Amino acid sequence: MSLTKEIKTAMSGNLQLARRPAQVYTSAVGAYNIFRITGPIEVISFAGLVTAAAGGATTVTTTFNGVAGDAGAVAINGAVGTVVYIPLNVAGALLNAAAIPKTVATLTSMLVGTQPAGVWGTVVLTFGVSTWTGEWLMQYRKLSPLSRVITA
Amino acid sequence: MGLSKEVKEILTNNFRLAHRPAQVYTVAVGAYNLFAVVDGPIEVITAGGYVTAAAVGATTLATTFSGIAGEAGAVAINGAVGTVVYIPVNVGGAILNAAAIPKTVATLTSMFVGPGNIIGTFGAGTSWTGELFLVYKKLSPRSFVRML
Repeated sequence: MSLTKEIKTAMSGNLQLARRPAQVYTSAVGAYNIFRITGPIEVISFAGLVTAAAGGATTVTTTFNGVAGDAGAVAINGAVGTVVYIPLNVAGALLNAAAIPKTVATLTSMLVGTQPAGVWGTVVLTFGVSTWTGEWLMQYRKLSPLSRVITA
Repeated sequence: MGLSKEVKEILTNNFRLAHRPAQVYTVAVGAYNLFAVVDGPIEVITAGGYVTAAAVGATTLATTFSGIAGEAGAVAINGAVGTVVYIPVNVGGAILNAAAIPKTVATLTSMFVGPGNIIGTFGAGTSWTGELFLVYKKLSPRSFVRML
């Protein structure tokens, strides 16, 4: 195999990063579709970063194509600079801290498709209580060469 | 070490994606040779599929990796278009088919596979249409996966 082809093949298996820049999310709007998925992917890690103080004890909960990414809404009004960890698993708890270990118990990834048919796959964050400001980062792996994640 | 050799060495340690484009798999044919593991062992990290057209009937899938079962038994994978299929690469795990599927600690399995074929056997129903994928890591510099 030529070096060019070798690199292309290897790159297709590499991890990719989708990023949504910092913005204000309000509980008045509630649900935000933050990423669109064009083909099957495996989400490896999903995190948020607090970039400005929340308006109150703002909570968030996630779904991937309607499938819960956490056990339920949790307040993520940590100080500026703290990270938010989405467990990608309905049995796991959302966490918000200055640093968050991914332990054996929370080491979960999630395969995500594009259902419902003919529509993008969706990653939805639903905010409650007040406002929250920050960015979102999703590390993923393509499971099809044409799969992409687009910031919605 | 030359740049070319350096790059090749780095790439050897990367994850790779083996992918079969969408096609129709029929129960009449049954067993399909999907991928061949060639010239050395690999570690399969994630295996699965993606439904691209509606299945005809409650078509089931069962897999073997160089003769070793990849799951506990055949499971219907006739989910809606856009759903994903997860193969646990472990005889103790169940194939899943849903809009999104967490790989939990209970299902977070990989599999060492020596040279041989990866076979998908379609049963029940009539046919299934979709893509199949395999994320793997080489365990030998010469190992690779070829689509059959």
